[in-house]
Amino acid sequence: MNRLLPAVALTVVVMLAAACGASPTSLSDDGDPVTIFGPYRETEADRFMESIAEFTAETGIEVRYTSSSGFVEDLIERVEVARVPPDIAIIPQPGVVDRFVETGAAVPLGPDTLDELDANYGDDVLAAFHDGEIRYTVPFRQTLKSVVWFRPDVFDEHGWRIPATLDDLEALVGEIAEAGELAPWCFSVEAGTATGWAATDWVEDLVLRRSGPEIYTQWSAGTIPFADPDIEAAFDEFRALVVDFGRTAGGVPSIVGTRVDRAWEPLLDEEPGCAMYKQADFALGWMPELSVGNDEELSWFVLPPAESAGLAPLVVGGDQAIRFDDRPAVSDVMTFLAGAQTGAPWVADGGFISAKTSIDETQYPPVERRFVDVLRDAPTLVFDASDQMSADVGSGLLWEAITNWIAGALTYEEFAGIVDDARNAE
Amino acid sequence: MTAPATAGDENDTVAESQTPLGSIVGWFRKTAIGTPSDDEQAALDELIPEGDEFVPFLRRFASLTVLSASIAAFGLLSDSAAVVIGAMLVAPLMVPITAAAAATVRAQNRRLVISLLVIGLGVVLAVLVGYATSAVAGSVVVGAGSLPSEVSARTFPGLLDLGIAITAGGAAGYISPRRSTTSALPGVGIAVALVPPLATVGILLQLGLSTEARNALLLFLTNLAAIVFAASVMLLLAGFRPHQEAARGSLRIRLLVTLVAVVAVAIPLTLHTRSALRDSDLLRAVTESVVDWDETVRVIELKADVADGRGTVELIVSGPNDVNPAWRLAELVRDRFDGPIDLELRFERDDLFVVSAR
Repeated sequence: MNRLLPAVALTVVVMLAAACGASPTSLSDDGDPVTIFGPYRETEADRFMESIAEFTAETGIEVRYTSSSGFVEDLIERVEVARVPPDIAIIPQPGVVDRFVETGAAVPLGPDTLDELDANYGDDVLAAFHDGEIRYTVPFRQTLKSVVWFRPDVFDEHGWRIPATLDDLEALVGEIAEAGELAPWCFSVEAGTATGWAATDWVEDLVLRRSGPEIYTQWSAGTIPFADPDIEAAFDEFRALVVDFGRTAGGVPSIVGTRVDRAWEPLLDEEPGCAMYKQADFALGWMPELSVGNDEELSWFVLPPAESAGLAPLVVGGDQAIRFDDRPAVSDVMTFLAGAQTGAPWVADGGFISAKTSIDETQYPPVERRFVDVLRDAPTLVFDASDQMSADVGSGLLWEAITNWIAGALTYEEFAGIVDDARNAE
Repeated sequence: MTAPATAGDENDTVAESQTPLGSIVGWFRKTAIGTPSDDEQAALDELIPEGDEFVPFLRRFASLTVLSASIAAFGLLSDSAAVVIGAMLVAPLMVPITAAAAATVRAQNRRLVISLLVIGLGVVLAVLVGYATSAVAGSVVVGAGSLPSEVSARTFPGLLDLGIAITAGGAAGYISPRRSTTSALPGVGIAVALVPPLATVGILLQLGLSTEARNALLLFLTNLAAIVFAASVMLLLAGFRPHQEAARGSLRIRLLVTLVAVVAVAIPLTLHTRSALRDSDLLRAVTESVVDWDETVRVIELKADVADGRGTVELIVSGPNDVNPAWRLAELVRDRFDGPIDLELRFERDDLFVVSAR
């Protein structure tokens, strides 16, 4: 028996080694890793991959993620020109999703993924993202665009108050600009081939507040043109509030030339260069780690409504995952993305609002919990208008034209003519 | 087997004779280790003179340290390698460091303490001079990013620096007892550069760059520990031993202490070196990937750094055609580097115009 023992032990070791070698491989069943293309860069890319790590650990399927500042243009080039689509793309623009559905590039969701969707998402979210019978996308992230960041210490020092209406905001901006110590706003639009998107967000909030959700919806759907007086008025207001001389730190050259994810820098300088910074909730992920709250290093308020009565309507955005391949490994990743707790690590880290109802409010850090509360209580939520427009206009031409309009290279009439002509030609 | 019948035999108590290793050591001593002459012993004694000559020596030492540190600090701030080398030639720090090695080997406690105090004086003076020079003339430097390359080069020591210091320390140990070879001593000073790292420490402290200052101090400590150790070994090989029988036991402890010091500095140096190797992996991955991505472009500027396993690349390229999608380049680099990367690519269109006007 003693002589047999080493042989038995050796056999067990060999079998264990074989089992370990056979179980999780680094690649999927068909040998290739699953590729995801998305808009999350740098720290956000790390956060996203942290959310995927559990999937790779459980299945052994390797997931590779790539992102780009020229995300939309690059994705369309990959899918339609180079014909090397990623397996999955995470897309913030419904207009781009529609394009891939219409061209047949997108692959419908499998039954397992649909089951997860129905189990983990609220009906309102699914209704907002899915308007056809066949479902293609997994909503992943929700963003709150109508946020204005500020430093409580700077507001306290100058005796400024959070404005209750847009008129109050304009008065505050005038007061800050007149004092001349710092600019009212931090703002920039440079984002490679996506330069200009930040300006569309600003104007959308003004259209929604001044003209109401009905006009907003018609404008985003294309039934009201950019040349419409209501829309022009919002653009004029944006120029007077943000673009005109003395309104933004660094002026127009800085607006056009500074990376959009670094626009906040003057706000946090020891001697602040600006008083306010309007950017979505995810801007917190671009900034260094700060305490956020009413009496903390940084705070925020919702861009005020036109009238003082009631809460402000909100412009929101959302990212959806879509697949271009029907391999089982790709289906597995889509199902995982729709899973009850996928994204929870990012939620816990902060800077991310999940589109799922299965992720509980208590899982969010206090800052994001307040965003979630505001989203829940808002009287009106509208989706980012430019993101809903067709990809060629809303995620391309409009960005370029609005940048040229800010830089003074186009009059409003010329700008509206270019965009409306493109929309009419569709 | 008989014990080796050389001078080394007289001075040694190691019982090695009855083992194969002992035979090899005995043979080595017999053939390689000589007996230091009186002149060679005197040459080591004169490194730091005693009695009436000590104070003038100290005055000379302090003056030369201040002068060399000033030259070094100005050279560093003006980014002049030639001036910094000049400072190395003036620097007198090699003398007490070699004296410390000699005192270690010969178990001269008093001389060892004096040597260490003189080294300490030199360190303080050189750092203070660097600090003061930077306060007066360092306004050109506004942050870590704008450090002159002569300064920043001394904020990232690696294992190569340890290798330089050990070999130079060995050379110092070889040269110091031999008066005929002292002309080679400046070469040793240049090779290890003792004062410039200290002046760099002062400059960086004045600029509030404490991490970089710590790294420059690590470079000096590397040089200090390695020179004392290597010079000690060299002096041992030259046959220097403690005079008293009783002191010989403590010789091993002293050598062990210097060896531990070398190992202690080698640990952060290894980490630095690994980090530098990872940086160079990333650089190679980028340059090779650029060719795969678009062979018509040329690299104008490339910065690559690895932190926490993630590579950050800032790249400016120029090419005659439309730019290829940057994501492709990012994927090529990621696959070659085999790790996550962030790439910031700037593409400059390289247009050529040939025109004539008559």
